[in-house]
Amino acid sequence: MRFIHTADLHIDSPLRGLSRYQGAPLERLRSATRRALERLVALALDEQVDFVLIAGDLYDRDWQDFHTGLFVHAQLVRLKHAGIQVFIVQGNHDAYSDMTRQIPWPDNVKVFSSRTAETAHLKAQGVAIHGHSFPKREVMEDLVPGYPAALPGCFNIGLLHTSLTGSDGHDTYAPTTLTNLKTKGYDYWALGHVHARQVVCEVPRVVFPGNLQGRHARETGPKGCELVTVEGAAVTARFVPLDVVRWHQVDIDLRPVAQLDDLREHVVRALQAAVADAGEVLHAVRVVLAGQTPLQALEASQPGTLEAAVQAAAQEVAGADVWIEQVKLRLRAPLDRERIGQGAGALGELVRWVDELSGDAPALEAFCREALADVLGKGKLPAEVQAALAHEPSDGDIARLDDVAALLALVKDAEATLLARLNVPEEKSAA
Amino acid sequence: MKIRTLFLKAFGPFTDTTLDFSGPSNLHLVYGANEAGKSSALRAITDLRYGIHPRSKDNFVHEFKDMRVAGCFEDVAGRAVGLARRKGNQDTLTGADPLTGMQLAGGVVSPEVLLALTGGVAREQFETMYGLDSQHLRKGGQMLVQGEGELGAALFEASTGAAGIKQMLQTLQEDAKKYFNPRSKAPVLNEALRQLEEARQRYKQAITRPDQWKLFKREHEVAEQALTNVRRDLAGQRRRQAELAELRAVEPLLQQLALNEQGWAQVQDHAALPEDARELRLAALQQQAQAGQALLEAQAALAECRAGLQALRIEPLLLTHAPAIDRLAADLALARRGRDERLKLQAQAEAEAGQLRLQAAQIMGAGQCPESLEAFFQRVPSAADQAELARLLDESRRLTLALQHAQERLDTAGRKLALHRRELLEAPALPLRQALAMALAQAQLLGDAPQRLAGQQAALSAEKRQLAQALLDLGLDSTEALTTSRWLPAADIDAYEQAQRDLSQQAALSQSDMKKLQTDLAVQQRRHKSLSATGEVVTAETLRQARQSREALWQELRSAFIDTPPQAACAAQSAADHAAVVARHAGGACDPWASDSAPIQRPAILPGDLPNAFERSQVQADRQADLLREGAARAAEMAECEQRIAEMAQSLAEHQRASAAQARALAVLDDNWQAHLARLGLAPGTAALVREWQGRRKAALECHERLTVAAQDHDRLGQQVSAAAQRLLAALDALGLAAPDGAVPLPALMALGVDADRRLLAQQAAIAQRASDMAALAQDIEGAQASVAELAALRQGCQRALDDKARRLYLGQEAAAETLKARLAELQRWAQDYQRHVERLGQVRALQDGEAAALDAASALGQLVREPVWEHQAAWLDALVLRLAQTREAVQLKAAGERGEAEALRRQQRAQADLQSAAQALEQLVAQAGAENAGALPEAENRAEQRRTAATRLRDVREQLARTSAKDAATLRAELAGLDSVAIDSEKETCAAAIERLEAAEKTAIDAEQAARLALGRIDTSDAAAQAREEMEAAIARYRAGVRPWAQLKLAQALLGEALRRHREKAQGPVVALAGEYFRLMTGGRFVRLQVDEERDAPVLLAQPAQGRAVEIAALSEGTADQLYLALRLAALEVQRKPDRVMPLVLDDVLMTADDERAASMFCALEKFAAAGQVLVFTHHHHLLRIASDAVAKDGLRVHRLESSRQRHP
Repeated sequence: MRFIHTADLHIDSPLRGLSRYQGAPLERLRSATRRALERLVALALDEQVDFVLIAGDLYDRDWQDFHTGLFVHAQLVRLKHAGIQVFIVQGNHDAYSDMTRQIPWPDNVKVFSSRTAETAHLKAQGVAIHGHSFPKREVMEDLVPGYPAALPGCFNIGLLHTSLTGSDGHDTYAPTTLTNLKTKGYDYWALGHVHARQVVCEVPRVVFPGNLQGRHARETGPKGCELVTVEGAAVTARFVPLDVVRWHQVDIDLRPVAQLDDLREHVVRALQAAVADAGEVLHAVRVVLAGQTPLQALEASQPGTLEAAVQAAAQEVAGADVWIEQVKLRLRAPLDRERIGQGAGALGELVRWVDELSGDAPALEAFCREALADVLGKGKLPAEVQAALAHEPSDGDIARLDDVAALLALVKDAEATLLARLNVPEEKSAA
Repeated sequence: MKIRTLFLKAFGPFTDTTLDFSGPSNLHLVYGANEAGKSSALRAITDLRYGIHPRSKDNFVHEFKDMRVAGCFEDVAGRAVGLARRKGNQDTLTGADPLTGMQLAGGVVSPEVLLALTGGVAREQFETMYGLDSQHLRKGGQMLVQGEGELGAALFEASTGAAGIKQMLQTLQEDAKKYFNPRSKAPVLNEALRQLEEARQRYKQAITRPDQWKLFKREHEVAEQALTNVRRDLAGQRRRQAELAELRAVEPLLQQLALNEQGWAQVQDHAALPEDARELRLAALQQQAQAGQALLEAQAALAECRAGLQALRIEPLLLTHAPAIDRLAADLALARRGRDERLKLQAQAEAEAGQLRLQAAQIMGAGQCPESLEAFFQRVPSAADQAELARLLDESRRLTLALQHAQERLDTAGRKLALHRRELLEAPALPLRQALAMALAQAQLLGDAPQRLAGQQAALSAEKRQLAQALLDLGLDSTEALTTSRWLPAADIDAYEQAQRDLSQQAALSQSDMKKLQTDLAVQQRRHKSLSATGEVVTAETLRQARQSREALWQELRSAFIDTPPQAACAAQSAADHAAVVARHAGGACDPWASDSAPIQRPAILPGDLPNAFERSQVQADRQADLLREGAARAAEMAECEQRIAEMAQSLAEHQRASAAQARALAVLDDNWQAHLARLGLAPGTAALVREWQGRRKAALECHERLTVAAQDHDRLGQQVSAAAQRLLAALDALGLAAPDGAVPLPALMALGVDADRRLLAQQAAIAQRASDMAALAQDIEGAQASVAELAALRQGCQRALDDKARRLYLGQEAAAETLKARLAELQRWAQDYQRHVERLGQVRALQDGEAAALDAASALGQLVREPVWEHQAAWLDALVLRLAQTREAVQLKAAGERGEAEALRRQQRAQADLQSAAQALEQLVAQAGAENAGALPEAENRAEQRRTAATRLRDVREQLARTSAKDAATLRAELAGLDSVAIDSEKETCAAAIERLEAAEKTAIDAEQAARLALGRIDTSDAAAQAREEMEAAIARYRAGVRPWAQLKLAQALLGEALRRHREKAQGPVVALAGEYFRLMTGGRFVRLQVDEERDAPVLLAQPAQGRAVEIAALSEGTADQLYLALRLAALEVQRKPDRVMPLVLDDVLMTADDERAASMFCALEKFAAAGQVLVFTHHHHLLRIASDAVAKDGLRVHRLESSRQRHP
């Protein structure tokens, strides 16, 4: 017997953070979550599996667009034509009460009840599948105790959307423990909700397959499903990557890099290592440049220079399509601010004034508010950006005008820009 | 730390070179011609402090590992600190001996020393702030002009050493606008916003609502069902129509089928033969006849071939050795032809040898003969020998000529030298001549000094008159009063004026209030009088006081007469009398001693008067009570009036006090104002007067300043003229030239000096020329002698070589060149003849060898063919060749015979096979027909044809029926039962009408279904909305990516603007004043100071010339703008100077574009700057040495010369 275990498909949710640029492979990027589902269906057909398990969050939210439901319906019908059954529990994103629009499911699909746990008994395969859908988004109680007892003589599978004991970056829903899961005596727990693949336990096998397609820079690495084979009592599983866009974060230490030409070589090498042996997916890479380097002065003088250099270097990566999602800079200037600030001249004046601003939050806010009002003033940012900022940490790419720490960092960057353009030299060790 | 000594141990072109910057002078001029290493020395100064650059260019003499530079520095306390720097990666700076610069072992440098060495600034900052070259100077000047002297930018640039601050501000703004510009669409953020909005619109349009989809779905289902129904009905009608057509078509076929089935029944028992049975039979018979004839012919041909083969004769041994026989025959023929040729060549060779021997004997002479021709001709020179001989001949000729020329030059130079020695000249001492030249140059530098002196004197007088008039206007008695007076800021005047105005306004207001109060008071007093005039006014208060008085008198009366003895009554009586007096005095209106707070005090009353007093007080109290009852309203009005009068009086008093205070304040303000004016030395007066006075004072000060400058210039010029004249006189005296007595004007002295200098110069030039000529002649003689000796030796060697060559050519020593060449040509010709002779002998030998080889081959062939060779070998070989040809022909014939034999055998076999095949065919046909023999076959063939025809007809009808209908004949016959053609046609027409109607309905249904399907199809699984959503995210990402760089640039712009403002406020006063002083020095007083015009949007610098109005920076010439930039830089450095940050100012050819006058002025400014700091000026312009020496005091400048590499390494 073979089956596929997948979860957190979030169909039609957009990839975040990828700006289009000239020459980018847009077709590869388009509707990535749909393409991943198509690849999942193709895998099921190729491998001739008996059934497919979807452990919640098939949809990202109630459909804004009816096409989303129609597309999923069409894919499930493809499975139906191949005689493959599909078992679904609804998760926090597509909880029963939140989904106001419906299309009748094809008759090869079983969606477990949101009122109580149910069991689907596949007598031909000797399998019992137990599941319980989320009735609403916030399910704070443990659903596992309500799951039926294991059917004797069957291969018992628990289908559950849960945060288990909690996970970074994921809200806590339907919390439970591994001990609770084990007490049910099931052979396989097909979990969903956590987007990073995780084999929680081997016996019984308890698995988060991760989401089917990473959607932003924090969901890195291969994404796909579990292809499970059961022969007698033996369970063997294989992770099959199905994502069409793969996210990476590549940290590059720029301490040994003194010139822009050298940067190209470092970036190409780092990207090449990151995307090696990854098949034909499109790689969306967040590059983090860190360390103390003379290049910081160059970037400060001409903001955007390093990002452009990284974009250019990415085009040289052989054998893979690489898309630079963002270049984050954590560079430290070799400048000795303290020493400049001790000077009696104009530069010292400038540095001392920035230091004054550092200790005077109202003055800092007033200064920044006046300079940046055109874009960061009240009501100036696009609504989508404002909404996103409200849920983001303060070290994001856009500083809020009431965030003193972020404004201070911005002012320090501006100061670095000035010092660089004024050709203030870098601190170098004497040869 | 300033540097005392720079030790260039191994750096650039320098090796152990020392530059000594010690001594009292802080201004150093380092001169070096091109390639002298000036740039290397400059780099060494920086590299010593900050380390030798990893990719230093100064390794062209010394390897990287050997590069060294050291220095002796002077710390804050004046102590010498020795430091040495080597090229390397770490610990490159060590302590060194301050005197020699030699590195000290273990001389680790402390962080304090390191900090003092760099002054706390990094290399590039040091190079920017403390270094300046001509390019940066020019750029700084240009930026000042372009920035129109904007003060903030100018000060910032001067302080940082940067240039183009205003441009940087603009660039920052433009860079920020690339990200966001409210009035453009192209910038990143604007573009991202537009993309976001477009994607948002697309998204809204692309999404599909559920009810919309359900409607389309339902409509499609209905249309689909209608189409299905119509199609079902149409199919039924068409099916029936087809059935009727089928029955109508099969009816005649069924009748024909019945007839054919009967015919078949009659012939189906006949034997079935193939359709071509007759042709098969006839063909077999014909084949049988042809095969018999062919068999006979093949047998005859076979016999003929076998007979021919037996008659052939072949010799196998000859065939085996056929190649050898053919080769021998060819060789023998060749040998026969070559024999005659060999004999002829042999005769010619012998004749040539005799001739050559004879010629050789002639050359050798003395009856000698050559041992052999080969030995003789081996001595003939080869091509290389001939070339060598030609070279030797040329060399010998050249040397001979050169020797002659050298000898002639030697003789000529000797004669000239002797002549020069007889005509030696003498010249004055060099220092005296230099002193005269220097004095002249200094005098010339003054230019038209007398004229300028006169001009200055006139200007001075005019300025004095102007100043005197200005002082008179100001009411001042001296310039000291003017200069000691100080400027009162306009803000102070405004403040005073405002305060005075405020106080005056307050006083006016008080006066106005007081008048109003006094008017109101008079009204109330009139009212009071009016109330009083009506009669006594009793109030509750007067009543209460009257009653109190009555009670008091009663108490006294009681104590005096009722409660005390009679003597006490007297006292009481007196008290009563007194009370009566009081009561009379009071007149009843009120008790003057009564009050609410104090007890009633009244004069003591005698006890005897007490009863009367009490009675009166009682009457008074009763009367008061009666009056109060009668005039209560008037009493109230009276009280109210009195209250108002009291309040007004109080208010009036307060106003009077306030008015007095204001008057005092105004007086104090005026006193202070006048005192302030007195302190500042300004004339007393009102604010307007002070303003006017200050305006005049400013003009007077400017006049005074101009006068001061003009006087200083005049004095300075006078002193310079006097000094120049003294120097000229002294120089002329020293040279012993006729110096004029008494005071002679400088121009006359200069004319004398110039004339003397010209003559001395001419004399000096002639002496120098003569000495130079003699030295050159001596050198020529020496060189010519050496050449003669060298050429003679060379020529001798050459002659020896030529003699060797002559001996080899059988000639004597010192043979002439022509002789050698003739002999050489002769031998070459003979050698060519000898070569032809040798070749001919070779041909003879080759032909002889060929003949012998052919004969040897014939003998060997005889052994091979096992036959004896005839004596006449050629005849034997001819016969052998003939036999070989015959054998080869027989072999060919045999092969042809064998091929014929095989062909005849194949033909015989084929004929036999054909006979057998024909017989088998006939036997088969007989068997099929069931006949006894082949003769019965024709009859059987006819019967079989009849059977075949019947079967064909029956099959055709059946096939036609099958094509017409899929049903079998029995079914069709059953369906036709009861139907005739008329009934069928009638039903067909009915069906056709129904079909036509249904087809129209189907078309309509198809259209409807297609429309519904398309409508639903448009709402399929499209991902347009999802894509639009993704595009929104992409636009958001692009927007977000652009925000930070935009903010960074905007903040940088704002920071810079604010930094300019703050720095300007702080540095404006000291830097502008100091820079004005430097600027005055640099321009030689053409400009006297710098001013700030603060009345513009942004304060700007103005340059105040010695005369006239202040000019804007944009109006300055290029050179003057450069000077201004340098002045600002010097001022900024001086202001920033700290004891622990005394770094040398290094100027690299900054004076290269300045004319002499301007350069001299700039040196003066640098001398001032060097008073408290070290200045190193590098130049490759020699004339600057003189200018600097003249411009700067002797102990204020030190000159260093860098030797050129040629001088260091001659």
